[in-house]
Amino acid sequence: MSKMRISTFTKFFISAALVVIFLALCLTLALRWVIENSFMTHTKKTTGNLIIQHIENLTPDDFSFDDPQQTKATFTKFYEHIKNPDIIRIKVWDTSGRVIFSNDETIIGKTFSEDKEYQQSLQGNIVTKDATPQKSKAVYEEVYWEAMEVYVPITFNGLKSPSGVIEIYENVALEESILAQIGVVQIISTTVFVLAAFILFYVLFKLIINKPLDKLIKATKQFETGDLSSRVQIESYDEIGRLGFAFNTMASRLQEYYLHLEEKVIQRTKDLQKAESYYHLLFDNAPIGIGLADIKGNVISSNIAIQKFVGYSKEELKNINLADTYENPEDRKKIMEILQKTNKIVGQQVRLKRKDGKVVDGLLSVTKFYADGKELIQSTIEDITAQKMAERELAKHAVELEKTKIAVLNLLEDLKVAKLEVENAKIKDDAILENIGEGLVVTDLNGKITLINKAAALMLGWEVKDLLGKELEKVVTLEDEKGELVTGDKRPCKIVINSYKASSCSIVKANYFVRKDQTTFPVALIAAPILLNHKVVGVVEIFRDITREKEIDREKSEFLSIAAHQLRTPLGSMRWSFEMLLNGDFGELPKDIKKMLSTIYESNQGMISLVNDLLDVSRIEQGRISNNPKPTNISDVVKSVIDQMQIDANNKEVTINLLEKKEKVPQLMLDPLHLQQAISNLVSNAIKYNVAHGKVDIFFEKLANSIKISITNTGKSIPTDEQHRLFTKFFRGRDAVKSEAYGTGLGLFVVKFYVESWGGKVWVKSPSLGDNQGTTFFVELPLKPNNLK
Amino acid sequence: MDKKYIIVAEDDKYYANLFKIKLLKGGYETLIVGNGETALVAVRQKKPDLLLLDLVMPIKDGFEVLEELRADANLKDLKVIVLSNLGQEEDVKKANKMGVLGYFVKSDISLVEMMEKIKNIFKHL
Repeated sequence: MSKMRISTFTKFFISAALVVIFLALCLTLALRWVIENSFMTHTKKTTGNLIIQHIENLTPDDFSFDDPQQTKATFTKFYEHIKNPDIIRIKVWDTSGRVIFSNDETIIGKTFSEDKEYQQSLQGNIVTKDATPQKSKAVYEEVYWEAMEVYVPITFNGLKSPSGVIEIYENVALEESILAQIGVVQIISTTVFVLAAFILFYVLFKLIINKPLDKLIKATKQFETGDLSSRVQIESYDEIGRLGFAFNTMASRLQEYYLHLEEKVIQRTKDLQKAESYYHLLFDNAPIGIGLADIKGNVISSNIAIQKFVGYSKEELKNINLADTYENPEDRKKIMEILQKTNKIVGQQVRLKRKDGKVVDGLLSVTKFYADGKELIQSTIEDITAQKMAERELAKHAVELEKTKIAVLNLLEDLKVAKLEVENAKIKDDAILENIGEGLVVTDLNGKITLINKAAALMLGWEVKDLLGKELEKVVTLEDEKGELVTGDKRPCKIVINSYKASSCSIVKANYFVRKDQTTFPVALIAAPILLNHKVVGVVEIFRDITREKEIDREKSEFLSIAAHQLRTPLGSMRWSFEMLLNGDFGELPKDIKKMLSTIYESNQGMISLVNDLLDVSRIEQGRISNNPKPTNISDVVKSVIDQMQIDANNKEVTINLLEKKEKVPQLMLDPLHLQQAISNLVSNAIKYNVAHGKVDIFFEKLANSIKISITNTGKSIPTDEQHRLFTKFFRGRDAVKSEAYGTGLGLFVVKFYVESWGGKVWVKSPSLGDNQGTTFFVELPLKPNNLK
Repeated sequence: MDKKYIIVAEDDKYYANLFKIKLLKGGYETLIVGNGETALVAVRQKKPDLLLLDLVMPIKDGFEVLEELRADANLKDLKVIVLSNLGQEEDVKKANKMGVLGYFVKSDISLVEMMEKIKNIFKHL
């Protein structure tokens, strides 16, 4: 849509015309209103006065509406007086709003007390109302242009307030000629006004706006044509004046800039000339060969680097074809073929032949382009002869490297296989750990559980996932036999960490684990350190629920206890009976009977020993020897044994000698009952296998780290071949069997067990030279005996 | 010196008889009772100088008797020697803990020795 070119002048005049026309219209309407109003006032006055005058003439002083006959007669007369064609209707109202007379008989007697103008008139005023009916509602045909109602109050009998109201409804239409006159006046005055206003505006506009604008346009046009010195003559200081001023300022500035620009152009031209000379230097001295040739291979320009590279001078180069510089001229042909297609080749390796015949390597980049209508080729070339040489060397090494690589790859393959084997083994190990019946818990150095198998969790009443990562001591409590908590350093894992030796492991027996539901169960537990590079990184504990074993143990123990009791009861009562018989409690017995009873007594004693020894051995074998170590004085134990044995010794007529050194031996930490039993067995043997009137020498002394006890008798020697079997179960020497003495072959077994459990040793020394050389049993106990549970 | 009064709690009649003969001969006044219950009644009534106590007995065994004795303010200092054919270490320790003067396995001690022990107990008074 093209923009309409409407001049400022036109715009201004259209708006001005609109304003003028509007004003003219207003003027016309105002004029009309004034004229109409003056008619109304005129009618009010003339009609009002006419009525009042007639009423005063027609009514007597004592007139009232009380007599309808008189009223009708009076107002009929009144109507006759004032009657003219313009009066359409007359109404006479009394004070109650009732019509008492009218020329329109239909409305006499009706009441219109609500009529606003009637109400106002009753106050004593003459009231008029424009009552031109709308065509549709016209009641009276006589109304032809414009009608009016005039209400006039009437007063009788000199009263102050009106006694009624007369309403006249009449045509007030003006004469057509008057109207026409008014119309002409209106049109002429309006036209004159409009014309005058137009002329005024036109002159003012031309003077104030158009003239200076023209000047401005002229100056601008001049400026356009390049006359930078053109300026506007400013005569006023209004908006247009200011516009001119701004134009002048702008023009001056532009003029200044233009001058400055010219200087700059001169300067830049100089700079460019300088730059060009630098480019020449750069071109000539570039370390990389740069050249320009035509498509046929004739050199147009070349720099120093390229000249040195191929060994030709600048002039020589201009006289040879580039194809001649290639080791193989075919190479150039190939390059040119590619260049035809791609216009550009970057980093092509070429082998060139120098003027002196030497072959060199170059890295060539070429670009084809058009200049001055000719096809030209620009090329750069870099000397890579040294690199290529190194590369060829490298290639040789690369072959060797390749071989090594293959070897390494083979090795890696082997490793992969080995790794797979290890992984398989680990899967197997995991499966084994997971499925063994023993509980297995692995903890780190902080006691946190890092691995726990199903069996362990099941025994403890937990889920594996509930235990992983928890601190073992906090979730799984351990109690000892007395029901006291085993905590801190006493926990097996802590014992292992604290007493770490490469091969140490701690076996904890007779402890009780507490399950999740707070019930307990006895466990046999082994804890061992996990070593990584000779350092402890954790502890593995393996345990087993030994409730059943304990039960069986208890049953066995009870059985043994009762069995022993039942065997001892008759043996004991027989013993005492024999003793009483032999002792003469029932009177002195004949010698042969006494001898026989003695034999039976001995056999009975043998039976008792057998029961005791069997009991001891079975306890030892079951590992049910309780151990209650306390500081024990060896001297006291030996003396008590001698006391016990005195009767037997007396019977055998053997003397027991205790050879004590003055130096006191230190107390040993061990179970005195066990020591007593060991020594008792040795002394008992020494008596039993002694000769009549023989003797037993008991001796003990402190050595550097131990205490040595020796018990020597004067009985038969023990053959060398039997000596090493002496301490085995149920073994009895040939001579012992032959002797009268009753024995079970268990005594020395018991001695060896106890002594070795303390970390001591027992041995025998018996000269085999001949009979009755005596035998010595030695016991050596360490000053700090072991006390394993 | 008055005769010492010894009560023997022993259910085996054969042993009981041997005790009676030997103790009477040894010059002691002796009462034999056949179970733990009567032993307690007798001890409370007679206040003996010594109680020889078997362990395996009907109605109440020796350990129960010991327990009740030790719980009784009047009897907790009563001298007791256990003479039983039970000889397990556990039994010996248990009895010793309950403050007996001696624990002897009947089959392992001769009558002479036993009489000697009893004599020693009174001698030390």
